[in-house]
Amino acid sequence: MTAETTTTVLAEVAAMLGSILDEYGIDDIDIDRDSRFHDDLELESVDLVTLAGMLAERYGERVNLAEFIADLGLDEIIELTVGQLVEHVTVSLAADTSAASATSATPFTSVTSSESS
Amino acid sequence: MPATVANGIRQNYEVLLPRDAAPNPPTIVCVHGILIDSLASYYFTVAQALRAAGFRVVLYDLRGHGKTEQPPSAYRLDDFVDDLAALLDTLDVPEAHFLGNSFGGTIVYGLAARHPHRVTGIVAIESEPATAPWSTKMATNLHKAATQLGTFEATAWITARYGRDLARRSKRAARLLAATTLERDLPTSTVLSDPQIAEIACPTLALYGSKSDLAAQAEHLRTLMPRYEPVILPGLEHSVLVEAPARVLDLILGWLAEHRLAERGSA
Repeated sequence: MTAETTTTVLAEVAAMLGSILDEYGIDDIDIDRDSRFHDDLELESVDLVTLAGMLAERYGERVNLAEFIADLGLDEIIELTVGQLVEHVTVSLAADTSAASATSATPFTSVTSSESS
Repeated sequence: MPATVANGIRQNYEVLLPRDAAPNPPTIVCVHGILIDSLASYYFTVAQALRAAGFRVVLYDLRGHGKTEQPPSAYRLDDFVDDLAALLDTLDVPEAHFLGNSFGGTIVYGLAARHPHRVTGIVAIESEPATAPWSTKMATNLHKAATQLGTFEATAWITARYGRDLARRSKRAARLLAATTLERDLPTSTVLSDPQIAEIACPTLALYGSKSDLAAQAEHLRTLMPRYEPVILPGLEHSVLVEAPARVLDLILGWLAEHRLAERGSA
């Protein structure tokens, strides 16, 4: 895994979290590797479901947040940092032989288009 | 997460498709509880395993909860039932199995009473049909929640005993009660009579914690409902789903498999 991949994933995950926070009208929180889901970003469990959907949309079935959380327990993931999630994503991608195709996957910005009204 | 307007409000939902993508998989719809609950309770407990077992799993947030719209009024049971029926219309789900946790089960019993053809089976976890005693109890509980849930003392106690995520959800529930007519509306819901409950004829698995006061209802419901099957889980209180997800999942999957085999056998 390259540092570049980690940087890219961090930027993408931060964008996902930013769009979740936007829904609450919060746009002035800096999201970095040390940001904690609960204490710094003030996310609830229902926000993690949204995040799980975004991760699946962007990276496919290779990154399964629900399984990751099932291993940890919800209380523990609430204590998690963005950096730990980024690490999980990059490890999951590297473990999959098709990881090379990730860069040609649907760009994250298309996620919002799956919403209808 | 996808959302759609159904019954006049924007409803947040999630559909998990089985990975093996068999044509027309059976659908199970998960209905969460009131105030402190959201679809996350299912997403992070039984939903993934139900999906792995070959079900299309539909999860959604009730009105006023999670990421579904919070209208200022209309919080009677029939409003919740209408939301669910309309969402299923939108998702093109004419009939399904239903999993209802706590108040979610009350909604499912309500759906089964009003739209029996839509409900092929019920798993009700720590739930009861809406009856006159239910209304009285809800009035008391909602009033207690409205006056106590948002206080500093309650938040501190909940944080110490159940953790910060629940404490945060409790504060949100206090805001829901303050901003809407939920407390006033729900106890004035149209309730079911014993003969109406007796007409709920689909297979029903009812799970109770032995330490919960709801378990005492099992005997009466068994005399009313023709295909009602209670299971009482020793040592558990009301939060059966989050306290013992593995045990709940085993019971649900076993029961579903039994009924799918029975359906095939009779086909």
